[in-house]
Amino acid sequence: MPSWVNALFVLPMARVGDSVLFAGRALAAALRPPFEFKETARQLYEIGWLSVPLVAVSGFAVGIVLSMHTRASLERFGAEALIPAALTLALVRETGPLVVGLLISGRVGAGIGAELGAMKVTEQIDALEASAVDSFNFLVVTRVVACIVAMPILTTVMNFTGILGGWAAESAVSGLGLFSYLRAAFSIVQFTDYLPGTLKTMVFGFIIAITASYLGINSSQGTQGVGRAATRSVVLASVLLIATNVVLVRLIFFVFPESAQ
Amino acid sequence: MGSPRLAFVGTFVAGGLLLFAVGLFLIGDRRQLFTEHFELEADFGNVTGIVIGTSVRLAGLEAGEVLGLEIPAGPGERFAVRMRVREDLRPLVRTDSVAAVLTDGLLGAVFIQIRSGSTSAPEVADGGAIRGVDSIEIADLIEEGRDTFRVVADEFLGLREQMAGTFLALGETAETTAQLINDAGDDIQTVTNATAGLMEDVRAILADTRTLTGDLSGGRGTVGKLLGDEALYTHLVGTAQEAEATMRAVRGSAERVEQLVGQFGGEEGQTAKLLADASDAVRLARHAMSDLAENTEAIKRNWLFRGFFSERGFYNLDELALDEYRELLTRDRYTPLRIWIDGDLLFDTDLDGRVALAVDADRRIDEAMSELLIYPRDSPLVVEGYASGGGRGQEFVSSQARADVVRDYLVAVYGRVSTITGTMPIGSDATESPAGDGSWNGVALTLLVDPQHLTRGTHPATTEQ
Repeated sequence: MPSWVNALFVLPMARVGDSVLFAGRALAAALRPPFEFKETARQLYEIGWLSVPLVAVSGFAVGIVLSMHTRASLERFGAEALIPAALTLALVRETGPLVVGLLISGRVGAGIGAELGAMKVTEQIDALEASAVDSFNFLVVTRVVACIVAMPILTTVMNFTGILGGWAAESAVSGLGLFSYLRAAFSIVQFTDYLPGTLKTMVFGFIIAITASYLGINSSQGTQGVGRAATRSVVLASVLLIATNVVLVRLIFFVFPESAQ
Repeated sequence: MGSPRLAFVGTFVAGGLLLFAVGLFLIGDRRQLFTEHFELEADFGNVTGIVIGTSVRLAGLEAGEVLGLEIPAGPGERFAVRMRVREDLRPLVRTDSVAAVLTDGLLGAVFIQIRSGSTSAPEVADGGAIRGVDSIEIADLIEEGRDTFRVVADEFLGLREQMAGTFLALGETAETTAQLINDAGDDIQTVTNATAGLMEDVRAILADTRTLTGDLSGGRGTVGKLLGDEALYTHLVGTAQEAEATMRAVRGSAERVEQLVGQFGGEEGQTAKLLADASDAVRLARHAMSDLAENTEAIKRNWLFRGFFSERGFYNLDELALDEYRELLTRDRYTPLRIWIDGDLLFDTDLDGRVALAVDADRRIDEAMSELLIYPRDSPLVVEGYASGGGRGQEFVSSQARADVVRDYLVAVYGRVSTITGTMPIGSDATESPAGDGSWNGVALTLLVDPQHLTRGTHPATTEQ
């Protein structure tokens, strides 16, 4: 086999195959005892709770910006009354999930990649195995489960802080009250907008955790490899997340045709 | 892992779930999932924009949502739209209620509006059906608007040319007049000043018109532009108003010139030439004036401006005094077609003592309307209320109540546009009534028809039902 075929096709495909097996193994392990509840809770704290300030502040800012842009567009048509609904629909359907996904892939993906990479190069993972601890279950599955659980919650936080930000911007212009704004905000949002948009972030969480864990656990070449693993985790997770989002949106439209209206 | 961290994790998960549940509740509350409902059905020929979950409103209130659409078996048949409506609104939904597909403003979401029915009709049963009325699509309106603006632009351009001819004639008259001012005295001076003032007015209008037509031909006058550009809209409406004012000025000046023509009729020489020129000017001015009148009338009747003009009293029938209304009927603009309906069998009194339609009233009104349905739907219709007995005040109150009940029926059942369906409480005086004694007790449906549409039918001036 020519070396270029090996470099361009065989090796990358081998990595893809290996990562798919890695993901399948993580999924299977997540559903099978023993469950590492304490470590999962610790990861939930690290991944979820500690991300709340970042997500909340970002959501508030995104809400303000969206409100300003929506106002500029709708004002031309005298449709300012639609601003809360348009903003909420944009946030709940796409902006909230995607922004949270990218934020978490940056903050958490890099963290997982670097942490597991460091453990790998310092042979801490081997030490865990030597202590009869299932390192995969303890390090990977707990992070995957924590990411899957945390993402919809963080998305909800992003959505509501975004709506609050939108209200803050709107109230500064028109003096609209919070409850009136909330009523208008949810006036055209359907369950088929809210539920799939929020729950698809579980897939995002899975992608972020699996990508970062895979690259971290397979890192090599010392501290340089750790840095590379962290960077690649963020880049690859972000790209995969955006690409998967396209498929997920198409799938949501197929399952819930009314959400495409 | 310490207990504070666990507490944070618990707060994170519980708080997140709570926030998620709040979102679900807000959506569910908006969709009124937590209130009792009944189902009903309406049929539509066109279901553009209607999907499962489309909002249903009754008298402006959020009343429910669309549950499903049934596709008709073949072409020409109508779609059945199944809706869920709040149980507490059921008393307002009668078998003669009408459902229509409307849009929240120009860009808003589509919703179904149910008009509450008449008190005489029974309530709709659970799973019952009401009539659906197809609405005009906004795309059709925009297309109509485009055509209208093309017509307006052409009309104004034509008008400009005609007015240019008038200017020339008036200009020559003014120049000639200037030479003769000293000879002809103060009266001619007055005419000249009036003519010069008139020319300034008309020139100003033409400048506005030129700008407007320039905007239109430059592609900036599309409906989209007009709708988005308040200034252009105001500009066009202002031009129309100005045209009306000038039209009056032209008429006034023309009359004055005519008077002078009469005074100088027997004289010879230059004065005679001046008068001949003045006569031509008057004729041309009148011609232009007539075109102006037609143009402003066309603008007023256009769908886009109708609301604007009706707001200002042009067609606001509710604001017309009785004398104004009678004067309106004598104008050439409309030919009133009146159908008299006797009130004895038409009205009843409900439990609260209010005037209501009697059991068989709808048949009588339908018979009367059947004679008017051949005329354009946008013809103004006035329900004249008549009542006798109980003094003038009581007659007025009763005739207003009678007219209101019939008007509501026409709006609900015939889909008459409320802004061009008015009421006029008249009392008992009815000089043209078929009773022959100069009085009437009941109502008269008076359709104000454009004379050019009268060829459509036998158009009886008055008919008794």
